[in-house]
Parts: sequence; C-alpha cells; structure tokens
Amino acid sequence: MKELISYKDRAFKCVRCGFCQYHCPVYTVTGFEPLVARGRLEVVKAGFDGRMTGFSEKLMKRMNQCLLCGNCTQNCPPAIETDKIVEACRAASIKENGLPEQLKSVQKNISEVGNITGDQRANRMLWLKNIEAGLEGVKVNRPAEYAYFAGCVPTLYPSAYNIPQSFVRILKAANVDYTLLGEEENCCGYPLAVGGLPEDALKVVKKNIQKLKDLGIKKIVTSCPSCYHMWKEYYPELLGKETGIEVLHSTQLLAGLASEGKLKFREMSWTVTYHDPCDIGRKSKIFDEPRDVINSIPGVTLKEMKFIREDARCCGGGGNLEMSDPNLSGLVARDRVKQALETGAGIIVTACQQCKRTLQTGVRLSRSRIKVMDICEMVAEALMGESNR
Amino acid sequence: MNSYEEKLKAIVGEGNYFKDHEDLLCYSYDATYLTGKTPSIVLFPTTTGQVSEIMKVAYAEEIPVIPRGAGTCIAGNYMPIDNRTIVIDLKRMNKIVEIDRENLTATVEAGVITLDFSQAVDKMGLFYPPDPSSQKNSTMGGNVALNAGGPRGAKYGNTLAYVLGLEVVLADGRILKTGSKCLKQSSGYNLAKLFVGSEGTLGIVTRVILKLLPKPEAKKTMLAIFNKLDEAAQAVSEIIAGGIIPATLELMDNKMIALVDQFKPTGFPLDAEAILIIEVDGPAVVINDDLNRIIEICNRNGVRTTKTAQNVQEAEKIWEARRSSYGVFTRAAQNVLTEDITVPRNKFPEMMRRIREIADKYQVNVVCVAHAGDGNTHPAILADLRNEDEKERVEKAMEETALAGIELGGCLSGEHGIGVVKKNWMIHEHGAVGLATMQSIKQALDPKNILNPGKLWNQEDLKASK
Repeated sequence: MKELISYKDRAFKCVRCGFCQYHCPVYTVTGFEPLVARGRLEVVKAGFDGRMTGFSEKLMKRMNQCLLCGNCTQNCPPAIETDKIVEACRAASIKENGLPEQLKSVQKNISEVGNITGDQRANRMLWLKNIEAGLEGVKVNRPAEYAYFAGCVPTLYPSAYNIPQSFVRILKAANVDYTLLGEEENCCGYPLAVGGLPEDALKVVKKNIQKLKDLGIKKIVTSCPSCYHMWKEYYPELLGKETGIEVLHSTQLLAGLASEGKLKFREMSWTVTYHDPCDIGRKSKIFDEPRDVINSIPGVTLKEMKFIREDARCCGGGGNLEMSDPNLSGLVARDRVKQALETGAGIIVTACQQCKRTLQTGVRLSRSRIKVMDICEMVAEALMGESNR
Repeated sequence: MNSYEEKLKAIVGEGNYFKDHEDLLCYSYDATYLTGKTPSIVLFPTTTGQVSEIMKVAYAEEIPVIPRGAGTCIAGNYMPIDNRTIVIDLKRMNKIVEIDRENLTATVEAGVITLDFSQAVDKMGLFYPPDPSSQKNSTMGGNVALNAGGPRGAKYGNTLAYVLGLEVVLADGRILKTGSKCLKQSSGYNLAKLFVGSEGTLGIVTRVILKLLPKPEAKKTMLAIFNKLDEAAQAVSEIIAGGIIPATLELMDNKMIALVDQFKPTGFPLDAEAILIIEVDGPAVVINDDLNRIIEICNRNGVRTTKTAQNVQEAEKIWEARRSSYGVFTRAAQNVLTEDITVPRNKFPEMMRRIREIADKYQVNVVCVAHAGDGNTHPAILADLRNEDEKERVEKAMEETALAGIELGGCLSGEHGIGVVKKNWMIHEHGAVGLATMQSIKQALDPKNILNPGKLWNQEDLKASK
C-alpha cells in the first residue's frame, strides 16, 4: 500500500457518514458495504493502519467492481475523491502484482496496431465501407477544420457502426469540413490511463497530438465520451501542459449546428428520455447541449428521469465493470432502465456507444419494451431527406 | 469453516454470505468516530423465515448477533464489540409491501430506505413525517431501532409516533407479530412500541406497520436573524409557549454561519449570533396567522430581521445553508462528534448557554445547531482525535454537557440513541431502578445476551446499584 501514501490523508478524512450510499449505482443494487466509497476507503485505511496488508485478490476484485462514475465524490461531504483513490489502487496493484491478462492484451494491441481489439489497421475503415451510398469524397487523413476522432469501439465493433455512420451523414448534411484519420487513427489511450498504465498512455497521447499537428488540424470532434474525457482532461494532465487542440463532443457540435439552423428536421412523434453519460455529463458538465439537440427536433417530447445531469446514475458500463463483472454491470443497467421506464418514454437517447450497449443489455435482462439510441442515430433519422433511406 | 457457519451459509445461500477479511472490515463501523471489532460473518437474509433460522443457530451456539441497516448511526449503536459477531444485514429485505390509502397505513420491510418510502407515500398524496438527516440512506428498520426523528419532529414526533405494528424475530428465532393497522390499541402491553428505540437489543425487526397522515395543504418558510443567541433561544421558547407548533424550528449559531459562508456565500450577516429557520405547515388560512404571530414574538425578542420565502426557490435557498452543515463540518475538521441532548423546551435557552460555557471551559470547538422546536440540541464538536490532549478535553466536555442536560430535566438522546457512546451516562438519567427495569426486560427477551451486546447501559453501573 506504500504507493498510495499520497492518498493517505485524504482517505482518513472519511468520517463514515455513509452519504455516498444513495449516490452509488453499485451499492444501490447490492446494498453491499465493501462496494461503496465508505467501505473502499475503510479498506485503504486498514492498509495503512495495519489491519490489512497488500493488494489481495479479493481486495482488487472489490476495487475493480467500481464504475469510477464519480457520483460519490461529487456528493461526499468532506469531498474525498474516492474514484481517484480506486484508480490509484488499481495502478498500485499492477505495480505489485503485474498486469491482469485482459489489460496485457490491450496494452500490446494499442502499441502494435493502435487499437484495443488487435484488429489490423485497415479494419478501422470497414464501418465506412459498410455505409450505404452517398458519402463519396469523404476526406481521410487530409487537412480540414475538424478531425472526426471516431474511436475504437464505434469503428471496430459492427454493432456500434451505426453511430459513426450516422454522424458522418449529419456532418455531410450540414456541410461541415472534416476529415477522418482512417487507418492512422490511434486509440485515445483511455483504457491505459484508467487501467493504471500512465506511461503507456502518455506515448499514445504524444503520437495522437503529433498526427494532428502534421495535418495542421486544430479541432477534433468525437462521438465517444471516453475519448472526449481523455482528450479534454487526461491529455493536459499527462502532458503537464495544454494540448493546443480544441476538443468537442458530437453533442456540442450538433447543438451548434442545430441552433444555426444547419440541420433540417422532419416532424417526429417520439417520446424520449435522455441518459447523461458520466464522461461528458458529470465529469465535463455537457448537460444542456444534448437536450438542446433533442428539443430542436419538432414533435419530440423529452421526459426526464429521476436522476439527471450531475445526479445521473451510470449505465453500468463505467470503470471497465462490464469486463470485470458482467453480472454486476447488468444489475446496474437494469436499474437505470427501470428509471427510464418510469418516465413513460419509448426511447432512451444517450450520447455514448458504451452507454447504449450497456443499457441495451439492461433492456434485454429486464425484458423491457424500450428502445435505446445514440443521439447521432436519432438526429440522422430525423434529418430531412432521410425518410426513404 | 466450522459447522455452524456451514448451517448459516445454507440458510441464506451463496451470494448472501460473506466472510473474507477484506469484506468484514467494512462491517466494523457505523457513522460513529469509533472503530469496532471486525465481525466474523455478514449475512443478507431475504425473508423473515431466514432471519428466524439464523437466530436459531446463533441462539444454540450463543454467538452475538447485530442487525444492520445502512450503518449511519452516530452513537456506536451498531458497532460490533466482539469478533465472533454475526451481522444480519437487512438491506435486501426492501419491499414496500403495501400503502393502504383507506386506512392511512403502510407496511414495509426493514431494509426499505427512508426517503424511498416517504417519496412513495408522497406520490399518493400522503405524508410520512420522520425525516432524519440520513434519510437518503437510513433504513426503516434502523429508524425503528433508534426511534429516528429529524427537523419535523418538533411538530410530528419521532418514528415511535408512527409505529402501529411490527414483525420481530426474537433471540431464540421465534417470530413475534404484534400490533395491527388499528390507530387505537389498548390490548395488553404495547409490544410494538417496546421495540422502538431498543437498538437491536431485544429482537430483529423485519417488518413494520406505520401510520400515515394526509399531506398538509400548505407550507411557508421563514428566516429570523438575531444579534444575540440568547434572544433567539428565548424566542423559540416563547413561540412554543404561545401555543404555536411549527413543523420545523431550526437554530444555527454564528460559528456555523461563518463556516457555511466560507464554502459558499450565504448572504447571511456574519456578526449575527444566531439564525432561526422556521417552517409552518397546515391549512393556508391558519399558517399565515401563525407566521404573523411568530414574527411578533421574534420582534419582541430583539430580532434584527425576519424574511419569509415568497416561493419554493427562496425556501430552498434558506434550507441550503442548514443542509450543508454536515459537509461543512467534515471539511473543517478531522472528526465531527454530534451530541443529541434534548431538554424540556422552556430550558432550551439555558441549555444553549451551558453548552457554550462548557465548550469554553475545556477549550473545545463547538458549533451549535439544534432542532430548537423540540428542545433537541445538536452541538457538533469539531476536533482532531489523533491529538490525545484534545481527545481527553472533548470527552470531558461531552460528559459534562450530557450531565448538564440531565440536570435540566432532559434526556441523553432525542433521536440518535445511546449505543456505546452514551451508555456510561445512562445511570444518571434513569437511576438504578430504571436500569434494573430495562435489564429485566432484556433478560426476559434475550436471556443469553446475544442481541447487540454491550450497548445501552454499563453493566458495572447495574451491579453497583444492586
């Protein structure tokens, strides 16, 4: 536990009020104290005061059963950043016990082929080849106002292809000058940074920034909240200085386009609810833009859930939980879907491929009748001229 | 794993049974500043039948058992004192069984979260008043065990006022069902009420029948700023004496105002010694009249200004400062120790004076907030208990404050309970006969002393008084 020494005072600031319980999605579905911030901090304290030694397998199992959603931190009376402490435990455990298998392959894949799956670089473009006609002349690796950083999951998992496909359709309809990075796009480094491999993450960070510099591009847009959060928060932190690159999430660009009247919508008769992804919501305060986009589509009614904006509960997909404990992730997802169902909406709109996937799992597990869409998919479907697609 | 542990595991099944050291550490505490012993097993039963089977095993083996809700108690009421302890966590028994509109009652399992319950009731246009500060986390079973209250206690009373019936698993595993949905019950000993505030020492509450109220028609919130703490306390006393019972009547002293202001400017004057937050509810015609009379009383007692919130947002703004108190305390100090001395309401001004005097005498940093309307003081001691000298002074100040409260005809706790923190002072409040009577009841219901042992009173005091 020596590596955690810089967190010692912070951990001991926990007065054990237990107010974190209400805000923790994992605790809400389990009622299990080792899975809430107060319990996690107690174990860290025990490491310092001798009630426990080392990072046992059980301890790390518990630390991995965390969404890193930050809801506890935000509501902690003495403002303890438990999410940061959990991340530090994961990193310290890697130093002590070595990399877990899953992370080993991610590390290797990113360093060899620049993505998390180990796909050959050419596969990054399959989603675009898969698109129906109408997108000839898309720029790839050329100077442009924006680089669309599409991300590993949306470009390499066919079930998520529809998100970047929808986004480029919108960009075309609104006449936005952008380029894809195609085969040369690299992972943003997020899995490395939160997995406890900051040095590896830094290598990726430098490579990605250099790439944009070479193309003379000053702005990127991404439809992935984790990429967004990584570029926006972790890049300057890892580099120790500003990147000089403006980072936009797709919802911010869409809100701008909608307010400038560059998106022409058909009337849609949808009742939707919006799920705030943690990485752009609570962690980056992008709350109004996605709602503005939804409200700009005529005929659409937005019904809010009980927990929204800063208070929004995680979908169950944060903190690599889906990888380390799919059952627990599923329980959290079901709970979030239940909150969505209570609004009476027919569609859950979100702005993240991981949230979409986890929420779909929740819908499947609870046998619910509600659709899940990414906001890009929703906007593309509502665009004028898209009806006969 | 020994043989009784095998039996316990079989009762609750895989996934509801935990015994790894890393997990058990998280069951060695509650929200008190003390750390207890690490228990031996944590069980999550899902039915009353399972709780009963667990108790049969524990009774036969004579192993201590502590029922647990959210673990948000602050007097060491849960805190294990024995490494063999079996923890029965009731959080997975969390169904609201029924809200009976015709009878204005509800039936809930012990693990239902307080706020979830009051919101469910509110949705139906009904009202469950107890509102402990821990309501987002605390469970209904825990509320019963500690007779939880909250700001609204001034007008509406604690949990005790709402318990009509209980299902309780006794020490030997038998299941007691007592009380009913009847509002009037004069049918032998009122056993349900006996278990309220018993802190898990007499049985394990698994289900509760509660009384509900219709939602009050209207509500108004006002703020009164006083130059002198004494005058604010006197105003409180006169409001009550005047026959007006506000739903809440909260007091914050100037230290509290200054601390809150450091984190988020409140707009409250920093030179005022006290602020009262007063909320009245009821029929619209009545509350306006009440408010006018309250303002009159405040004026008589030298109030600097009064301000009535004109809308919900303004009312929220007033409450924000009060609600942030705990957070502010925890940021300002390493340890926060909250006392709960409650005195007859006409003694409230005197108690507030004594608290200040004792704090000065022992050089302890005490911030005063109070549910003033029911005489329930919550002096918060901000300290660093790692400092031995300070720790000693804090302990002395706490004891002297407790004894001062008793001297004024008060009681040790209005809503937090006794636990281990206040058990040594119980003899002063209840006397030898009082403690012996409690002991007789304990002996009758828990002859092997396995239910939450070591709490409520000091066994030495009992021996000495014989």
